[in-house]
Amino acid sequence: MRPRDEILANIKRNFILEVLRSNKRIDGRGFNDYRKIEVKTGVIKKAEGSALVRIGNTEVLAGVKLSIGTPYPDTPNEGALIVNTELVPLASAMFEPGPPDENSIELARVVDRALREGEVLDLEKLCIVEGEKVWLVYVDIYSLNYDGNLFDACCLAALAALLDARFPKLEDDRVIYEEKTSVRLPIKNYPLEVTYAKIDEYIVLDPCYEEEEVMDARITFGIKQDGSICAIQKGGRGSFKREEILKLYDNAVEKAKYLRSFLNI
Amino acid sequence: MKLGKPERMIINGRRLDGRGLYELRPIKMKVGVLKNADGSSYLEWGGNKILCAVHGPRELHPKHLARPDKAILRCIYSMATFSVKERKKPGPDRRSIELSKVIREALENVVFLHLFPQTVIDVYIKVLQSDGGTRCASIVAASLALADAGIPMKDLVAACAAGKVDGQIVLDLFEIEDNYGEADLPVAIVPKTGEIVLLQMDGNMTREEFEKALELAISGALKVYELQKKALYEKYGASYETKR
Amino acid sequence: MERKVILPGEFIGKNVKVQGPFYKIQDSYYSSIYGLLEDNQNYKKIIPLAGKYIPRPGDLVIGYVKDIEFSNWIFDINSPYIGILPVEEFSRPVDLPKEDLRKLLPLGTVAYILVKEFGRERKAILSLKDKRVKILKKGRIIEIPPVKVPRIIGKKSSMIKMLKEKLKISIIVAQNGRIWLNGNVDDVLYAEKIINYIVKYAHISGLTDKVKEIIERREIPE
Repeated sequence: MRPRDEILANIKRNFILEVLRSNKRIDGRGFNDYRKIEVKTGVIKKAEGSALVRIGNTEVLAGVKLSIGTPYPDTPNEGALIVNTELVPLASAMFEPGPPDENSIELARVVDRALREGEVLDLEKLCIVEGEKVWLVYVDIYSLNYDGNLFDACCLAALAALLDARFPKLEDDRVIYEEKTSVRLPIKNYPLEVTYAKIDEYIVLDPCYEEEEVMDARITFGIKQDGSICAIQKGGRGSFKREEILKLYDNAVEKAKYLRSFLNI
Repeated sequence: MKLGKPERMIINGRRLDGRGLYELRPIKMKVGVLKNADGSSYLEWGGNKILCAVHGPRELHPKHLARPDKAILRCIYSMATFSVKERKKPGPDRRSIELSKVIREALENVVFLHLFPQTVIDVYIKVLQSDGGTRCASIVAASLALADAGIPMKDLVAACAAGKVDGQIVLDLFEIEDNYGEADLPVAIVPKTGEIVLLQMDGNMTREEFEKALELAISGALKVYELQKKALYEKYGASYETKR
Repeated sequence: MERKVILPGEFIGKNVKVQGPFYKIQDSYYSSIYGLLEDNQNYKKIIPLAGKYIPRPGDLVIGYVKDIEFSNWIFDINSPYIGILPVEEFSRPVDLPKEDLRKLLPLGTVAYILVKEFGRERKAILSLKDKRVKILKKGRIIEIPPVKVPRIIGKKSSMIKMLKEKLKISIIVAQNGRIWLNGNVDDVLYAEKIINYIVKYAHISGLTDKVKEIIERREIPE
């Protein structure tokens, strides 16, 4: 990803601020609007579940793969959820191949946190033989086109792919990947992430790339269907005020509900 | 016998996916699919789904890798973890490094690299779903994306595999044939000149079988070439039929 | 004048006059890119549909300062090659080392600037010693594919003249695909949509009149 201290043309931020001052955004949205959202599931047949999510020009693809493994010693009757996010050079000229940098690791961890702490899966129901055999659920998310706000897009894609997933057939100890059953994953909660950017004194929902480029700070809320929070991540060297955060939390609950309306649940 | 190998893969001249021996799988191509890339393409070839992006020519970092007389071409082939039956570990493995190399070398033959000294042209290939024959499909997608990026080339590179299944020479192996067949022969060509720029073989064939398979693979690549041209004409709404 | 899509390696003709990116084997000419072929009476012209900006002496480009060395400014000029503004090419004599280059043109400074040389070193030597250059202190910079710049300017500047007149803002179209828009915020954002529309339909004929109609109706183009 673009180094944080990359030099930008100095008039860039000024213009974006000028637009914000006139109560608009550069792409014509209101401060509290998402861009157009599209969710398409079942796009990769080789995966047990998959989803392509577009938020404006940001596009990500999530796939779910299942395999049999041994449980962690401290949770012998639980399966495991492993979430991984990769910033692919397809998505932007700024993404380099090779080991992930701090930005992509942060993204992967924050998306993982919302799903894990939000208890998206009932892990006990993934147990096959206690202490011996459990289902491991892998969610891998690739960014295909980057135009800001990968957090919300990745989390939405991950949840959509988990909802789309069906268990493959299990014969003795062998997974028959070619044969999917009609059994869905044990979904327990529907956590989603909602992200805001702060540019000077203005706070906008779902920042596009140009806004992220000039933002001072960013905040992401992981929200469950009951309105409780399961993850927060503040980013950037700017700051938020206490009142701002509480107000944004209330707003994020509404926005998470809106995002959830794109899932067939 | 390998576990999972079908007893017969060719029954009455038909293959397990219903094709005849010399038939290609359905192929769909589209160029200009990724907004942030200088050039891009999406290819569906049977059950293969491949996205390719080209960035460049652009400044090369670190500088010492740059060549004073030409651009360097970098090519990265990688598979999505969920593109295969059993989840693939993320990150490069020996296979993807080798494929990246042979794909790059095939493309280097046609790209006029000397026009952009000191720069790099990056080609990223992501296999979203694999179904056998991804290296040929990747070359096809990559040359479309290079053309879409406006990179000067002497021609597109076209590719197709042939092979031996149940003792018979067949065109364009899909996954099961690739896994359990007797031989696989991926070939990439420069259609204008007939030059062969990628050639690999994996399996066993006689001299006669090899000659027949090579011929067949080249004929398949020429059909794929027509589809590549069609995809490029169609991006600008030009009717391909009137072009011929 | 007929235009058709042409592909890399496509045969153009024998013993013909060809302009643009081609290659030649004996007497035969072939296109080396994916572009449009324009069939003129005395010659054929290949018009690229994509490609990066390669500096040419005499071009005016929009760049910004991305690094500062002891006696040079380094500019990002939206190209595989960097731009260098040597202190001698600053708009006035600079007394080194007394003066600080970082104060004269700080990092991030945006300038409409002249390409003076582009040689074997593959570095564009820039200059502010020209009447047309300008330091851009406000407004919006957008980027379009550099190959579409002639379309934004139009034949005998017809398109750009019309845009300036109808959109009521200042516009500078630089050869490297950067466009500077300055004026009322709403007008600038609207102009951006119009320019994106022109880029998208650059290969269509009669575009200037169509765009003019759209602007007159203040329509938002798809």
